[in-house]
Amino acid sequence: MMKSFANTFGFRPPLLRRGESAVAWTGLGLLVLLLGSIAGAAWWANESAERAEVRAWHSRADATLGLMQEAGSTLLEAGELTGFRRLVVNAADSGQVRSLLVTMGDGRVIASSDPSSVRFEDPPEGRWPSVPADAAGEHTRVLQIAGKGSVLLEVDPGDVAAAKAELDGLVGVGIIGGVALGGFMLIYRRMRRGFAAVGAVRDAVLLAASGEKNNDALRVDASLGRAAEAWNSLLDDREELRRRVTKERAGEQLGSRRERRGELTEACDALWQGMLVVDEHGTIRYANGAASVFLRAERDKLTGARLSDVVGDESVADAMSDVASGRVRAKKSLEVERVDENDAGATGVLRLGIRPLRREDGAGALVMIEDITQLRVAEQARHSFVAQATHELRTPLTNIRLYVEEALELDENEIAERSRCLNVINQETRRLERVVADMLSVSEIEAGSLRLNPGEIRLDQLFTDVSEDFVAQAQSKGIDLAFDLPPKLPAIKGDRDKIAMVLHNLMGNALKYTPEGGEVKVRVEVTPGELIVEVKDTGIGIAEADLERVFEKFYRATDGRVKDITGTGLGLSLAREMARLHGGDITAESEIDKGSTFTLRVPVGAGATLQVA
Amino acid sequence: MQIEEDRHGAVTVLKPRGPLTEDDASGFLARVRESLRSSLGRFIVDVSGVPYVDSAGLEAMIDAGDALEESGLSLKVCGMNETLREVLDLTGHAGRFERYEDVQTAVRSFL
Repeated sequence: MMKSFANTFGFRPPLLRRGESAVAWTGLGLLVLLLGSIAGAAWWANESAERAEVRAWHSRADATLGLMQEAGSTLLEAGELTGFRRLVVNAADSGQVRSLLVTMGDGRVIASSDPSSVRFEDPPEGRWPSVPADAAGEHTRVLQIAGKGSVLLEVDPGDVAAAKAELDGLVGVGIIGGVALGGFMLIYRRMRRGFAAVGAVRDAVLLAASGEKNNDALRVDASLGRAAEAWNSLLDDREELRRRVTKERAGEQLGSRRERRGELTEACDALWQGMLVVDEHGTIRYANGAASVFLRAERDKLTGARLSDVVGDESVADAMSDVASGRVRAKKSLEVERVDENDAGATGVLRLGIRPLRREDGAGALVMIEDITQLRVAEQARHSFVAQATHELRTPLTNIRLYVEEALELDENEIAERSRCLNVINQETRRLERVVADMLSVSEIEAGSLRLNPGEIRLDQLFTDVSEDFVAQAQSKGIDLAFDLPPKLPAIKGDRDKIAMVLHNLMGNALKYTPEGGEVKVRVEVTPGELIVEVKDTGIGIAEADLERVFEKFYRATDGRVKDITGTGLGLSLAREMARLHGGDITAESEIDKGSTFTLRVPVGAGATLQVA
Repeated sequence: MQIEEDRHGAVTVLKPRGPLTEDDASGFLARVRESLRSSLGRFIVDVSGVPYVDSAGLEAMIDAGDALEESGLSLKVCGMNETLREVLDLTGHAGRFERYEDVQTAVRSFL
């Protein structure tokens, strides 16, 4: 396979344009053939001319010798030596030979075509010295002179090389002329292409100056040469620069938009309220992170879903319908209760604020979602507390008022009856005091101001006091109250009043919810690490669903059997808080109709000084 | 590590007990994610029973915080002892969490 010129030699000659290198071999071959033909023709013409010149040279020598042989012998026989010598000069001149020399056998010259260069001698009288017969040659002749002897004619036809040199000169001039012509043609060709490129570029520059922006219109024929290629390259660079600038500007604008969009998305995701953008068909178009949490759905699945399906409430669909129809332009607020029977934690109340969106491509709405479950729980608890507290405060107050009125009506002698009234008043007053104290403690806990007053707690004294407080109550209800105390009880560090309140609460509840004839056992255990007080009763028990909730503030069990038993719903909550303030806790175990066991655990470790009483 | 679950009103309280270390980190994180899903974000973590955390435990807490942050929420942590507080302060992650002194205060933050 023929390779291109550029591939063969590794470079492209400047005269070869793009695409011509492939045919460079053909062109080179034609060029060699042409030059060979010219050289051959020149050589052949030179050879022919040289042969013709030699033939003419011989012919002139022969003619001169022939003339001398015919006319010269006659003149020498007649003794016309002068005429003979003139004949020699004339013959040499007419024969265009360089010289013609006539010598005798002894070598003496008797005539020459160039008299100035040779000294003549006249032949002797009588017979002349003869010339050997074999002296005749290509350019010599022996001339026989009758009666006198013979002479030798020598002709010098001249230098054949001189004639040839003249011819070579002509050929050289021809070759130089041809080369010069070729060079001129090449220069002309290049100049013509150069001028054409400059003209084309000039036209393109003027076109660009007139406002033409299209590169294709400004581009010139690249075959016009390097100037055209350079111009086209400049146009390409300009186009590339323009594209780059456009791309960078577009990138900056796009980046700016993305940045703004990114900021908005981040801002929406940082909202602790759920946010939805809903179209006129009630389809969710956007949901932020909080919305996906409140609606318990993946964000990807929220987008494209119907709001009413996700929320599962008809009122939402109606509100969206109003917004979509344009009838409602004001904000609408809905509260949706979500109930999950399998997961109490997922049950809650969501508040949806729906506000119409003004959009060019249709109606829509912005839906803000708030989880108000805890708020509702708190409100419900407060309502319950107010009701319960009112009841708790009113009952002792009523008793106090009644017994005060009764005591006032008694005679001075009815001392026993008056004492009974005063005792009741005293009990109701202490009850009132406990209720108020509980409410104050709740307030302190709510305000975060409840603090311990640490000191030494002598456990033996503490349990003695507590037992005295409840023995009478147990006896009045016929309940067997028993204490299982270790033989020696230590002194620990803590807030005596708070711990006493906890014990009062646990034992008071045990007696309160244990029917007559039941049992209440208090078991105390002190390990090196903690104080354990277990209050076990044989009361009505607590349902499993209520077991943990009894520690919530203001919570009252839903059991119908406790409706008639008074209580604020604060006692266990406060007791647990007190225990936790000491680093301990209260736990409960219970079984309906069999009784409950509440266990108080308070650490007595490194922080507490354990002393044997 | 045991993670007890308690409820204060509508708020779920997760109470891990024991050190939060590499062995328990993934379980803790999974429990937080589950609580985020099931409690509609109404949950707090009471770390009063966590004496210390190692790097894996800290990473789990940070991941848990990030999981809530993606939804515009914050991980509410209460009962943090001095050791945990110092670890979070020294590592510069204290600001990732909403910190409360006790459960009651943390629960009130949902009002």
